[in-house]
Amino acid sequence: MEPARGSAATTVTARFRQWLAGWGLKEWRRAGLVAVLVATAAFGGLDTVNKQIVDTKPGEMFDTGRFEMTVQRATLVDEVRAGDRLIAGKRPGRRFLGLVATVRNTSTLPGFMDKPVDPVGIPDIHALPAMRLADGTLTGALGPGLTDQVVLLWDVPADAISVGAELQVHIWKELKRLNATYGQGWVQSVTDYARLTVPVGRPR
Amino acid sequence: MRKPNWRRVVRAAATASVIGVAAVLWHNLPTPDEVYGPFDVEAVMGQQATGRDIAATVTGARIAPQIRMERLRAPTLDALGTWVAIDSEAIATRTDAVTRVELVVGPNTYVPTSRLGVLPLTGSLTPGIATRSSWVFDVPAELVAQRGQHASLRVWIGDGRMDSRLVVDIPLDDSRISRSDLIVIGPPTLVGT
Amino acid sequence: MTTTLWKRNVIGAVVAAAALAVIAVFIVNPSWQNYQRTVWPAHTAPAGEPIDVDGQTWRVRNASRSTERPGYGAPLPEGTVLMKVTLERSGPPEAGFGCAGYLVDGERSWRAAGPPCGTATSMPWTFTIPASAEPTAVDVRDLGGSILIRLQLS
Repeated sequence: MEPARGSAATTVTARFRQWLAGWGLKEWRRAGLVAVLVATAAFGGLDTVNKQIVDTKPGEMFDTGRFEMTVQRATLVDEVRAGDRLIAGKRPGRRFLGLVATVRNTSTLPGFMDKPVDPVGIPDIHALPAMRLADGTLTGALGPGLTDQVVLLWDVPADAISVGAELQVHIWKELKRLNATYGQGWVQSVTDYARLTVPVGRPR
Repeated sequence: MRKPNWRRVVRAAATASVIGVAAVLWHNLPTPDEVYGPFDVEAVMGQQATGRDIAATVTGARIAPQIRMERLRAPTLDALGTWVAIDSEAIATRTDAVTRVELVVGPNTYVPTSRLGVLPLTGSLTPGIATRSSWVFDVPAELVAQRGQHASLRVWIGDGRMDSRLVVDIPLDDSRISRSDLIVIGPPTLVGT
Repeated sequence: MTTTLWKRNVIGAVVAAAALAVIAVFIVNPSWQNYQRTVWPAHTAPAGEPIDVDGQTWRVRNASRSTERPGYGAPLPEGTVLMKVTLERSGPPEAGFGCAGYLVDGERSWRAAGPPCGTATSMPWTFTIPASAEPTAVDVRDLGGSILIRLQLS
């Protein structure tokens, strides 16, 4: 290619460096802004995520928005019984983790109270339907204005946690949202939760 | 004064009015609830509410603090608040369908209880065969004891959007509502129509 | 551009029409076809006749009404009858697919009791229907609801 008349630059890199040399403060400021934006884009941008974590303990009430929950105690059992009725039997390698809590529904919509509660750090965990402590019937959804004492149940590996250990539990806050097309409901927050540790006892 | 350019005036007025109408329309758009919401079919107790795919009649209601099924060795269950059993007859009109039900008392919504197992009206309804049984709810006692309180039973099939929803108004002071100490839920009656 | 306004408007209208056509063909039409398949049967057999679909012959072997439930079960509810329709298909068991049987009477339809068909070549379907119903056909529908074959009964 013939070099441009009067210009000393011939290759692409040389022309690029000449262009770069011609930059003033305005162009450098702009380049700096672009670089910062690109770098932080990978980490969710410059906005900080406001996480609200509340520390609480067993016996203290936590308001998830929809429920007022008070966790009382945790137990680890081999089989689940209600009085003399067997609900879930012993299986090798697995045990049942139960969390006793008093829950009150303060919203206007019914809801399942086991949804916001998450035991932390237990692998291979499966949630089971919650039961009433009083008579061992399935609680189902708790209606607005009603209070109940329930046992939240999880199926856990036998070696994941033992009696006497401390169980870490997160209780997620819930937010009321309109559905995309019709109706409204409570959805779990992704950032706000309460954190507590409960000592794991043996069954009474 | 020079004669006004009528074409310009007309064009300006037309533009202004179109923008004005657009603004008014923008502020009065239907909400997603209105676009996708169900079509309510209203009825009172004793009257049949007929929707596109379901019809139901509420014949009465029973209110009590304890309930049991009419079965050998069935346990008597205590309500968290108080039990409200809405006695009704429901029939699907087109296909086998599972009903979704809600009871609205005051500002609150309640769903049928799971503590009695699967009740006939919460299972699948066969077209042309009427099922007579009850929907049972656990409701706070203070809500139900208030004078002049109305409960609204909503029945629909599927997710309810853009389809019929039966809405039955149940005044809780009505003479067809009985209050006692124990509700016994008998077996369902099925009648082919 | 030096083109006149009306010509530009015509170009715009053509582009908009093309976009609508693309939406109709690639988005609206497939959903509409899915719906139509749940209303209009793909194949219909006249009463008493077998029908060939994809190399397999389907026929209604037996259709009867009864007021008794077979076995020791509870009696049928008042005003209802049990309708038994036995459907047969030629072809090997492996050539079966997931389908469900429905009895049709005008706008109403009843699903056959029991699990969906699979490898069976003879399907004895039973339906609990009101006594006043007069079923006109039995449908073989796939698990998504599309009506694959409709065999008329009378």
